[in-house]
Amino acid sequence: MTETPKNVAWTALLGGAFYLISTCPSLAYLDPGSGSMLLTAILGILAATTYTLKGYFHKVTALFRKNRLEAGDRAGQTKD
Amino acid sequence: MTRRRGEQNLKDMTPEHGSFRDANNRVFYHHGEVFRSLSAEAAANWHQLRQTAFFRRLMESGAVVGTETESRADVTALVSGPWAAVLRHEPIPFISYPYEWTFGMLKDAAWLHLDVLEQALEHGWTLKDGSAYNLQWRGQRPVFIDVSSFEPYRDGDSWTGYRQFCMMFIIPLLLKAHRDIQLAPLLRSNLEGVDPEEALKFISVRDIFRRGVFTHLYLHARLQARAGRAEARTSAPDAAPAKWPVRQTREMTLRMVQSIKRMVAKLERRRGETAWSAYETTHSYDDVSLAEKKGFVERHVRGRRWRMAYDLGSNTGTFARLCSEHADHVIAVDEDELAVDTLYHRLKTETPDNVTPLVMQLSNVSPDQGWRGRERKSFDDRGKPDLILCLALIHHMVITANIPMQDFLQWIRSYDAAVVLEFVGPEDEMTLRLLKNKRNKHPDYTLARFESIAASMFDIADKAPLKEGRRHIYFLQPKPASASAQSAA
Repeated sequence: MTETPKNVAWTALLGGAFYLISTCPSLAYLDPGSGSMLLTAILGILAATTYTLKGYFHKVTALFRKNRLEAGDRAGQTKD
Repeated sequence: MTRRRGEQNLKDMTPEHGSFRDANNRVFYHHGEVFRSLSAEAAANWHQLRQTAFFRRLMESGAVVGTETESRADVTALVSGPWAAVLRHEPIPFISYPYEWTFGMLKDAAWLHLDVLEQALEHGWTLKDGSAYNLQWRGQRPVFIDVSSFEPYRDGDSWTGYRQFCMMFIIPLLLKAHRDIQLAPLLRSNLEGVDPEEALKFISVRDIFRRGVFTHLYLHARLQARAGRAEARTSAPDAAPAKWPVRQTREMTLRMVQSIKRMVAKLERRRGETAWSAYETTHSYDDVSLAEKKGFVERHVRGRRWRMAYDLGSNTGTFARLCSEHADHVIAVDEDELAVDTLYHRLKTETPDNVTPLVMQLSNVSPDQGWRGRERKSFDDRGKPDLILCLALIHHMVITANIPMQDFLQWIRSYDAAVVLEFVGPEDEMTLRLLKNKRNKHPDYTLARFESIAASMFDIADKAPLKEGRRHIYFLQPKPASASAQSAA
């Protein structure tokens, strides 16, 4: 097979990922599939990052919501 | 004496031939009950699992099949060798397979699987696989049946069953939702589900950007192909098993499962209509005839409590639902997927919840298949109905599918059940429509011939004309086998 730079880069990426941050082998009766394992790793990172960012986003927006609520309360009090 | 009793017991133990893939457990049947033998490792898991609050909640809510540790000595004596414990499961009234489910059913089963996994992950457990065969139906409600699939979450792992889940649930759902590809033939011929690389051939470039497709199908297929090529280039015959490329945390797996669950919940099928999906408004009955037909069916159905009723050719299920009040379980079968899916969505909001709708071509019902033709049982071998509704089906079988009338009635007779059968006569407009383009006008499709064949196998207990005599409805009681053989001779 021709070793194109693209192929070499891909093998290095895959091999590097496997080598650098691997854990103990799965002992389950199913073969999870190497490609699927890489995909679940990507999906796991993305889902956890999105979840964390969403959490921060809600915290930040909560500050404004709180301010708005307090301003609204004050406005309400003035009206009364 | 004891030895003889033991041998007799072993004879009464029937293994479930579809239960062999996970060497840690085996399902078997004994005197009408369902058991599961567990290896020492699986038994240790079970004893931990049954004490967890989340698992008890899952069982109480009906999401997971009712399961208890079996302690009766005559049952535990049935298993020997590697088995360390036996569980007893609540029986499922009728076993069905994913290739008999509608889009809505497969989607709800997928959602339940993910929900069970989500709850497991939240409490430090996981599921070792993602098989659609781990779900069954209790009426119109899905239930997760494989308790041996639960195992403690091991730090660093992701979900091993993700690929299997994609092949058995996500990819078929995506193909149906975005390409309207029929699930039944696809899943019947691919018992392990649809491989992502194979599924890639079904979709267009535009589909790649539709919900769920890029991640679970396109990227999955590409990564799988690339990994396969990379592995082929690496000549390492003694290589260790593949390892998770990134150290996973439980949080990462949980968030991934939640994101898949949200995606599945949003999947919708394409809107459309089929020949039978709007049957309730397009059927050829006037109100009076329909009321007469309903009256006849109800009169014979309500006479007793039926254990299991089949409605063959159920359409959108008007008569299956009518039966449901008089039967423990009803199986409603039709080949029109949209009509059955319409019935399923209607049933979800109804009680009693004892109707399981299934999609199947009745001229080609599910066969024995899988490993040695024993892994997945044929439709004929799975249930024993004591009542069959067979309303306005015979003309489709005889005229459209060219099945000889005698053969068709023999098939119905083989269930040994009482039958409510509607004969659609040769002058009926629906029969004429089926005959329109046929050179063989089926001259032997007559009321007299039908009655003669039916009388050789059944006692005609009641009969009534419908639609001014163009159709007739019958209540048939099976003759004892010897009597029907004599009549046939």
